[in-house]
Amino acid sequence: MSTVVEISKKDRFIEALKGNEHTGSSEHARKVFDRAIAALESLEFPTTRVEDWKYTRVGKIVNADWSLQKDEGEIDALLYNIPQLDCLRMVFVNGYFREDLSEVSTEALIALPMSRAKDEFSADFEMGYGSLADDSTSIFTAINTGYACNGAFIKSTKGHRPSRPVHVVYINTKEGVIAQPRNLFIVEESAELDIIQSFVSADGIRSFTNVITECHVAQNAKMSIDKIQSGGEESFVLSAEQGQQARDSHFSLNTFSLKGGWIRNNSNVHVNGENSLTDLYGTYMPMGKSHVDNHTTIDHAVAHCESNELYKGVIHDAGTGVFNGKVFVRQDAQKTNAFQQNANIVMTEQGSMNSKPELEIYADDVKCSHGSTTGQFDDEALFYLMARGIGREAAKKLLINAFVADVINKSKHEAVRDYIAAVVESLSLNS
Amino acid sequence: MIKIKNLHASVEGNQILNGLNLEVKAGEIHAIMGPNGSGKSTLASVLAGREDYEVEGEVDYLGKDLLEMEADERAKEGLFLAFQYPVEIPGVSNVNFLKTAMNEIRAHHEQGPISAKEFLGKLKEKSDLVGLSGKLRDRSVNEGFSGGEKKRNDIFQMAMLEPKLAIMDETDSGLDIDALRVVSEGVNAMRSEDRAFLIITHYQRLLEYIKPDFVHVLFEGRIVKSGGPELALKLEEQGYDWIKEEVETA
Repeated sequence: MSTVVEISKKDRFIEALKGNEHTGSSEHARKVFDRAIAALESLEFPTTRVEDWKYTRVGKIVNADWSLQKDEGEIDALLYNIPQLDCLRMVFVNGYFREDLSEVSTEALIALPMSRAKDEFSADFEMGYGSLADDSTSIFTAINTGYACNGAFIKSTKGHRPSRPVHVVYINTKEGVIAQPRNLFIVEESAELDIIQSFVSADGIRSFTNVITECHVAQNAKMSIDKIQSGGEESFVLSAEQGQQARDSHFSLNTFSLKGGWIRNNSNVHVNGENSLTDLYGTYMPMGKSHVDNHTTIDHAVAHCESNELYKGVIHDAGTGVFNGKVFVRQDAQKTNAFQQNANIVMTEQGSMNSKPELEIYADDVKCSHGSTTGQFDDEALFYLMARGIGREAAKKLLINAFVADVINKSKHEAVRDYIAAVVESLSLNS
Repeated sequence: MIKIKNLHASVEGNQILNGLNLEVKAGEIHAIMGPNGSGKSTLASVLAGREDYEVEGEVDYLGKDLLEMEADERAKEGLFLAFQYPVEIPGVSNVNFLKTAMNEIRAHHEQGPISAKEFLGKLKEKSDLVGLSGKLRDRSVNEGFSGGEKKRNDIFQMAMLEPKLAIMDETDSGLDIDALRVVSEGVNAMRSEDRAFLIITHYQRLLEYIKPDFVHVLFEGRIVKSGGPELALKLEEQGYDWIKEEVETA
């Protein structure tokens, strides 16, 4: 007689990640791991009946077979460089650190793989790792926490202003790979830190990246992140950022979703210190059957802060886009200025966009605004350009580039701006 | 240069142009005047290639069938429309826009791209001509420009592109007297034997600065009267009512 044991989707998914579970001596890492595993017990994959996932299906991820794959073979990492960008570079392949392709630093600017940082910078590790990402509410977060591959630990020490940014490149190279980077970025009091993240995949492969980045911005400090998503047609990327700001700080996150089959960004910031500034900007241009979802939360807990959000999308072909922007202004957060704008151009009949601003305001002396526009291509502007001799396709390209230009220009690095503008131009040329 | 025969245009079933005939030769300036709703702007739009209209009739432009051409092809062949309402295009710099336009026009005529030096020289010369400040010139196309600045920018573009036939759609509307003078001087400086202008206006005011060779009155989608500059003066003094009466009694 045989017994049929039905294996749940969740168990099957997690089974493939075995080998990445916690090892080593760090007590903190053990504690965080145990907590995630415990949380996983009661979590399930979201369906579209869950409000937060109403327009974004995870079926293609949870029903697929994924595997951990270390790739120590030759890789032309230069392929993923940003021209003219003077930076310190760290490379992760399929989620794992590639020291041979990376530069590390243990000076005033610290850039190390998490596997080293947990021992060499254990105080920071214990303060930050697992401190902001909430395993209890998201299965993907708990899966990352339980089974992360490795990740970037980047810290700018008190008062330090690094002369160059850190470029972290995440490359997926193997068919069916699941990569789970787990990053911790820390900028200490009165220091600055600029990071550029590139998520790319080798041509033609199917891959899933489930990445979490925890960001600690101390008093009077500044952190900027440019996140560039440029995977293949069958790349799935779920990217969560959890930021926390102390007083007088500035945190900015620019999300450039240029290519990829399926992208979900969960960008959440807790503003816990007065007189802080938070900037979240993003642009996306789904093509073919691609899907890009930006979920943001800015939580104003204290008074005298400002936040700015601008997300702009161009939906091509049968692409779909989602924007959901939550802003909380808590009772103590008087004199908050919170601005949010989502603007979209849908180029085709088949393309679609779902946009939802959500403001919850509990303070009475605040200035908050939000707006959402989704429209067709501006035919008046197109005619104006054509009436000056510019051909239809070139004119469309000019207008699309112009539409997203103000988001692209939010990057503080000229090399990044040029790089993204060039990618956008080549994309709109092909569409 | 351009021969318009029996031109009809309608939009959503409303007939706007109703058998219009007009010939403009190189070197000439023609003014088209008419009351509101007579079809002036439609004429400009149809000639420039705006797609919102159902169009019938014949338009021969330099030996080619104008109505078969896309808007950009018309521009590449030397037709220019100065807009009644120039469009704001945030994010596209004036300079980049003009350079793209010039190079597309040059490519059409099998010429290589303009050199940076030649382009900058021309930019300086033409912006001085229409009094467009460098600050405005370097901004996004018309973004945040006043009405007058937009018109000035259109004339600047005309000076840069050096068209063969320039159609000016109520360029004078919304201009103060100083801007009007500057715009007119720009046009007058461009007058030449091989260039023609079609000036569409509601008022005679502009024609004090730009002297037309011919004045036509457009009414109910047709040209109902043609004459010399004296016709414009008469319209200014007496309005359009006598034209309407003449048409109705005819």
